[in-house]
Amino acid sequence: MWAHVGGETRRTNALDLRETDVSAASALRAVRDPGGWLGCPEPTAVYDVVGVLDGPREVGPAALAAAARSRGYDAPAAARLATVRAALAEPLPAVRGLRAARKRLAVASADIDVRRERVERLGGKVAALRAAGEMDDGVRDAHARAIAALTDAETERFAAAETYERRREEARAVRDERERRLRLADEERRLEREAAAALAAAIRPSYERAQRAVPEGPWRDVLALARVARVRAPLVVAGGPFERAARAAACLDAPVVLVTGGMPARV
Amino acid sequence: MLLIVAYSRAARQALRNSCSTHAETVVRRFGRAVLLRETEYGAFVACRLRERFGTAVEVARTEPLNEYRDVPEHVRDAAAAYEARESPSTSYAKFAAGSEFPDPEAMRETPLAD
Repeated sequence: MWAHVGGETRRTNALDLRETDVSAASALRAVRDPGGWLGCPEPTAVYDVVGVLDGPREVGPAALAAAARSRGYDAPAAARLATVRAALAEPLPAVRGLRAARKRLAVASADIDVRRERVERLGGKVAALRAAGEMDDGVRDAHARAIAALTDAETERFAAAETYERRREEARAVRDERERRLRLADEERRLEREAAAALAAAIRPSYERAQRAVPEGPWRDVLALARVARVRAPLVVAGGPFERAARAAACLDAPVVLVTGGMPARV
Repeated sequence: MLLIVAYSRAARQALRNSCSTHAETVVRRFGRAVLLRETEYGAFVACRLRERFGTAVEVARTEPLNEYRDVPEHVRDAAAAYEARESPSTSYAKFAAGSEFPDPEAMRETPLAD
């Protein structure tokens, strides 16, 4: 890496900034920023896990798996996991118009009730007039129109019911697909756990050797993790057991930037 | 009652949350489904979930089945006779074959009257 520090450009694998007021956060920003005061290879995925070493940390399977991946280890579940993720990333077919179909059916049904009532009322009137022998053409025509309107309304309800049924079938198909995806999502989580466990197991011997190669003390596990991870972007070490930066770079098997510890590093 | 079924993780979580918030409205909870009391408030909860999740929730209005009103007599009789059969390992198709009881295929094809 190279770094512009104090008016000069330095090319080194072990940069010691503990005498300056550069914080871990600012060093991290410089690593991540391609146009910053520090030039280095672009951080890879494992950098999220080991990029900043600012205190003792418990090293679990997820962290070991990330380190194993950085060294090109492949989990046996990887192929199936990729298939499952691809299936989950497929867009879900959309159902349009189900709500509109429900509304149309409800309106059509209510309409029929109103019109049927009208037909019955006028029918009663026609019968009464006929019984009294004083038939009124106006009432008879209104009755005939009411019957026609009721027929129209029934046709509309029939069409509305058919549309609603079709939309419901579409929605059912989409729900079947959603059901399948819920199972796939469960499988994805299970495969991720399995993959992490397999990768962690695969790298554990190297990790245990690394534990013996780094300084003893509370920082041991996190330093061992950084040592087994393959990183080409510089690790930001805030505090820690190293006196000399070169010793840190050798021990962690990676370029390093040493800064003063004790301040929160994450930005 | 109002039956609500969730078909996505987000909908399932929201369903769970509204069940804890509105426990008085919940009649029964299952894994991804819940039965709500048939009140305006139950409907309010159902409509909110439908607004938010669309087809990722399914809402149905359920009612208890009264077999004496809703189920034809020959179906009821077949069910009673089959449950009283002597050999538990006999399938219904075999049980019904050559008897007065309805054929299972025919029953599958016949919708219940409203």
